[in-house]
Amino acid sequence: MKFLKFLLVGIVFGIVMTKSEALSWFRIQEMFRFQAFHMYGIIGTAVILGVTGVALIKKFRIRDFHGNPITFHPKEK
Amino acid sequence: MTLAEFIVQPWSWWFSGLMIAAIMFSLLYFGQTFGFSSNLRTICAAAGLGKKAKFFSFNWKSQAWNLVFLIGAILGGFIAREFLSNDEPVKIAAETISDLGKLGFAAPNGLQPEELFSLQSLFTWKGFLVLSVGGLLVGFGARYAGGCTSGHAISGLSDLQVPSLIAVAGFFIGGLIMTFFIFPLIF
Repeated sequence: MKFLKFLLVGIVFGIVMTKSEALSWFRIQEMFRFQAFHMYGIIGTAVILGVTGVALIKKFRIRDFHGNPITFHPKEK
Repeated sequence: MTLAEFIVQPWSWWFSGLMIAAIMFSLLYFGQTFGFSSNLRTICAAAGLGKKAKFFSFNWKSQAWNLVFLIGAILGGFIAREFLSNDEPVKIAAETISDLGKLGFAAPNGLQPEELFSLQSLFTWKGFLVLSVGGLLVGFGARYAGGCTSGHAISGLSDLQVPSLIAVAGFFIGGLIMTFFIFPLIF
């Protein structure tokens, strides 16, 4: 049962990628040709909220549901 | 507009972006991190390739949650397409339709072009090569870079990671080169 939550978040992710049309080859072409804002809006919104949320997690040392501090691992250079 | 009509229309960019951030934070809350292409390495490790390459030699079972997430994503895509969508084609810009038309692509009929993603295309030499070489490059590249759009552009940039910024710039430059220089040679 410990995997059920990941299945549910995965289902939501699949729905988001489809309903946002971010997985559409046509939307990706439109993005690389700079002919619409849609994809930039999606990524931009996600990153702005992500940066804000991660900064808050670090500042307030927010813990995960196990009670462990949420930590971030630097990407390899 | 009825509720059913509201649900089946495509989502706005801001709601979609918000949901992607929500997914990243849900995974952090559950003690994990958002990075979809890590699954490629996990699958190779689970297939026993650790004996052949050190890169695949790790305790892949610790990443089993991400494989479950992957299965969920496939299910979610199916649910969205079967039950939460109208059958209207993706509404891309008129300029894009015109540009793609010059390369031999018909205006959208759904979310993906049948000229590329269909059994018909798969059984032509060109279609088969484009799909298999493309898949190979995407898989290799995502692992060589240490992440894809989810791990680098969303998780990495949210944590202000410099390697992620470099990777995302690389993805974007690669996409531009493909779109403007290589694509016209293939199609």
